[in-house]
Amino acid sequence: MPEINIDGKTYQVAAGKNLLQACQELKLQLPYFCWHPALDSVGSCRQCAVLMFQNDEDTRGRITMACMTAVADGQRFSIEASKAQKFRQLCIEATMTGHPHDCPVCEEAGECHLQDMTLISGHIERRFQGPKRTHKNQYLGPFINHEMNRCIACYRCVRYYRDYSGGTDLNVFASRNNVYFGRAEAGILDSEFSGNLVEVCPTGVFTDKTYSQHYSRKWDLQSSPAVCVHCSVGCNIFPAERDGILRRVTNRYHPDLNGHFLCDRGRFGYDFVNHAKRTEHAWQRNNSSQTTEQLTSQQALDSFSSYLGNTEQLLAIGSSRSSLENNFCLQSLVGAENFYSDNSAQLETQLHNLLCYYRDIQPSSDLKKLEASDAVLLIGADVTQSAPRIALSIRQMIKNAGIAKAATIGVAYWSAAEVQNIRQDLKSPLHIISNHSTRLDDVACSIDNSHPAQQLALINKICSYLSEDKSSDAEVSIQENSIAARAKAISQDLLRAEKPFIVTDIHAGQSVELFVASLKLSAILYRQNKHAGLICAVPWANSLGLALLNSRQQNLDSVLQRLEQRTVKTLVILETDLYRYCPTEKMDLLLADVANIIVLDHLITPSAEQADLLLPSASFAEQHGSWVNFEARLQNSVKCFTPAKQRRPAHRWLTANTPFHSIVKDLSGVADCLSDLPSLYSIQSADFHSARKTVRESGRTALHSYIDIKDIQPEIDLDSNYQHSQEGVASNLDASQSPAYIWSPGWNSSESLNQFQHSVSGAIQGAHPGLLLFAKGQADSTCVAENQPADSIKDPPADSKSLLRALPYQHIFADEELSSYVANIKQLSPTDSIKINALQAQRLGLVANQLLDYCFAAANGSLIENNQTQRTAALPLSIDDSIATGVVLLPALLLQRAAVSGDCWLKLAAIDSAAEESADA
Amino acid sequence: MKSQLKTLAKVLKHSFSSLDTVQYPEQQPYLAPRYRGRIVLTRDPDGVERCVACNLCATVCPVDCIALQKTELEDGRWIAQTFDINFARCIMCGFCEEACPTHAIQLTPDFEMAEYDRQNLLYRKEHLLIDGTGKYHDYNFYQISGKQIAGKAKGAADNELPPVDIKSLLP
Repeated sequence: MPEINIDGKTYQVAAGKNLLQACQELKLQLPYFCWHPALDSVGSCRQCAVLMFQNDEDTRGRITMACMTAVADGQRFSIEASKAQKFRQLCIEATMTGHPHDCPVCEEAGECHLQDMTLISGHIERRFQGPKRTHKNQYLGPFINHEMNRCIACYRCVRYYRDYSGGTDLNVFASRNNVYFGRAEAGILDSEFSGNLVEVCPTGVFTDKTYSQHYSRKWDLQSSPAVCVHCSVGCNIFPAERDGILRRVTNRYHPDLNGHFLCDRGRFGYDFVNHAKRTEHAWQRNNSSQTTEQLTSQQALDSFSSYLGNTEQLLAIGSSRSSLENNFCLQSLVGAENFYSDNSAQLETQLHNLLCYYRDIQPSSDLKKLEASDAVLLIGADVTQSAPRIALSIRQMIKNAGIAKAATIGVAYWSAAEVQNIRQDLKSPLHIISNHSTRLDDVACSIDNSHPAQQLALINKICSYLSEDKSSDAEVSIQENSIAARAKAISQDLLRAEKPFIVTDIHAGQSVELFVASLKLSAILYRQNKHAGLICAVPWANSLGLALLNSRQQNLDSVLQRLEQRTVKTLVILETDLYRYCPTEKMDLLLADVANIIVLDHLITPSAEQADLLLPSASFAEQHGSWVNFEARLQNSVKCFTPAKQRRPAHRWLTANTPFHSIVKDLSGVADCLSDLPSLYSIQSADFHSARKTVRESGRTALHSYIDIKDIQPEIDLDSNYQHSQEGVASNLDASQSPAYIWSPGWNSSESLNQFQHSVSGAIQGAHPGLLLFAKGQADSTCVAENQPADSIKDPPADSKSLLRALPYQHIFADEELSSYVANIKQLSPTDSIKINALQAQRLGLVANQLLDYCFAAANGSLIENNQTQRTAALPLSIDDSIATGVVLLPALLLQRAAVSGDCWLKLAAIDSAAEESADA
Repeated sequence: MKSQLKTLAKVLKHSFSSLDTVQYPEQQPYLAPRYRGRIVLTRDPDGVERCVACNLCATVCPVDCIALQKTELEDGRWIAQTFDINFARCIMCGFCEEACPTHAIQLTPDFEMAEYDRQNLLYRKEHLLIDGTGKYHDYNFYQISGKQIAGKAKGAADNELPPVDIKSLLP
């Protein structure tokens, strides 16, 4: 460990880092703008200037930038020397000459890195009286607000947007004092990760537009450490509330998962909590008087238990978007034999396959390991759309070849501009096998968008190459571009890599054979290389958790079957919408025959509208809960605020107020892997709790005065160590548990994260990383996944040549249920269309944008009867040449709703527009 | 004995001095313009509400008796959707006035705010807002701020250059 001397004190610092990182780890106050823990150093803002001395005799020293100086043994620096201080002060004074007089009307004020750094560097009075430069703003879409006047030209935004997240439509224009950061012309930002600009920008150029619509200063927000519910990655977030409204979501650093960045669905998809369609009261349908009556909480509980009195013909459906506790309470209330998941049979099998695989063959991997990998094979998954944060990690993996090259000539990884210069076009290999073009195509070194049958052949070939002895490589001439050649190229990359990764996912409508084959491939790879990893995204936030509880594998297909057989008298639906899994008319018919429908949900979904008894449950932000993410990491999400009116967590409806801790205790007994669960919720014997509100919260005695001028006592949270008030230890002083918000004296912005970490890329002090349920894999045991034959994909039913294999295409803003309630997200979700390639369209005599009628065919070749509303279900055709012939792509939700079990085919037909018009007339 | 007489004389003398007691409310005391009494919200010289809902008054308030919610007008101005002051709590310290960057919130020489019902001590925005500029007649925040609003384009505020033409190649 190098020993360096700063201002007369000797410190031991970690080798291989730069001085700014070292100063942060030592908690020395050194200002910076352009450096960012994930973007590293370019040395352009001149804020982290320190005095560096040549040797012990040197008294003059020279100014150097800390972020560009590698630490080495025996160095001597001064941060406090007046020369260095003066330099920093003058630099920021020059930066501030053009900064507008805007703070009162700026969303960033109060958590502004520029404000903090101006104070730290000692520039407290403006001397410059000249005119300020101004810039025109651009419209950048529904999420991000642009105010260019405030720019200090640190270049962080383009470095993040272009270099880190791979966006292309944000850039820097013009030169010197005129530089402009924006798009070539105003328009919606293209990247799925644009929201991170808000946190990356050290001042208020890019601010959160959705937050501004119900704005509150940072210090007025009540926050808690929670987990995102919009996909299976389980990114750590801080939801922030004031006055019963969830105001925004910001990133909560988790070194192994989301790091510093979230996707836009996670950051901006929170508004469903405040939605006009949220449930607030218990309602009961009175069939005799044709009315709906509002119940008190007690009446609702009584009514609920009377409905459940008869357990015969009872059926309960759990939820992949609800916490483990809620599902567990429902399961123990109705009994495991009556408990069904909201996954189709196919999904349920795959999820159990994956759990088995994690348990028996290969332990799961996290995103940090993925970012460190040096070759990735992506199979079948469009992760940018289904679990976006994984795609961002794959983009970081691409850079590893360049970093390794830079290291060979002695350039450290943190010197971002140098590494980029050395890297040029050098990329770590990413091979994509997918049904259509994906957002990662620009960094991939090979892309295979062939028919699923060919994809499967390719994977099987790769498997055989991997399992072969490497010495028998000298094979007879392989035709170029043949499957064998491609398989060989991919398997060579995988074998050459030190840490190869397979990335795949489970989603509705996928070809199961491909998924099973990719698990098999990963197993073979892992047998050869213990550093190999598997990342497998699953459909929703708690899909794996639900699968873990639902060991009987009772699924939605059997639910539909039982509904069709009319053997259900009482149906309990927990936070899921059946209309997403079944055509509307069919579902209406099925539900019409159920005598009692009880729905627990926090939104009035189409299913909730059918309820005979509606119990208003709480959203993720209003309850404690555990979630199992794609890698079987069990994380707890802490309640942020108290649910209003009759809303309460579903587990409190289901168990009539059993204390949360006894639920957790019971739950931990369900499976061996859950036995450590109570440690996530341990109430320490500490004297003090942590405060969810900041010390500087305002308006405490006025906020609710319009209701009653007497102060209202804050709710006391008995279930956690966090309190709904300012009372308790401020987050920066309590290192025993995850902070409820990120703030430290002098560090008001999200950059204050460095005050909570021991090292620059280390975990937040006290934060629980979550429990990995299957941390140890045993390579020798067998698993279902491997035993299943996956040699061929079923041919389409022979009788009709016009049948096309139907596969889903996903979209980040269209597929997920909760975020689809949010207006801003809806605005960005694409219009549904049917996608085939041009050749296919020509063969079928179809043209782009033509309205198409479609009809599903089941595996046995019989056409599934189309419902009556086929005209409204007609979709326009769009041509996408990346799709293989014989394949048709449908919106994922639409395919899911078709509820065709197993593989499905589609018959397309053009709608005769003239006939339709006459029919309308 | 001597001191007792002296005391009596002193007391006697006071019966001829002028009265300090004021016949309030018939007789009103003089209150200086800077007296810290009832709080008002003022308007710009052009008649628009000055408050931009920046929350600084609420933050600085030692008894946390100010609560407000920001919203935006169609012309781009920030404005308070609600602005509540709980005068049952207010200690008239004047910090809010000091913190206010737009001279919107001002304390006035009026202290006659007694109520029979404590709920009436909650002053909402309509009770606080006055039609004038208060003590500061000329200040207009949006003329100084760089934020663009309808009727004041980029570069049109005081002491601002016209917007940069990023396509210009001139040095």
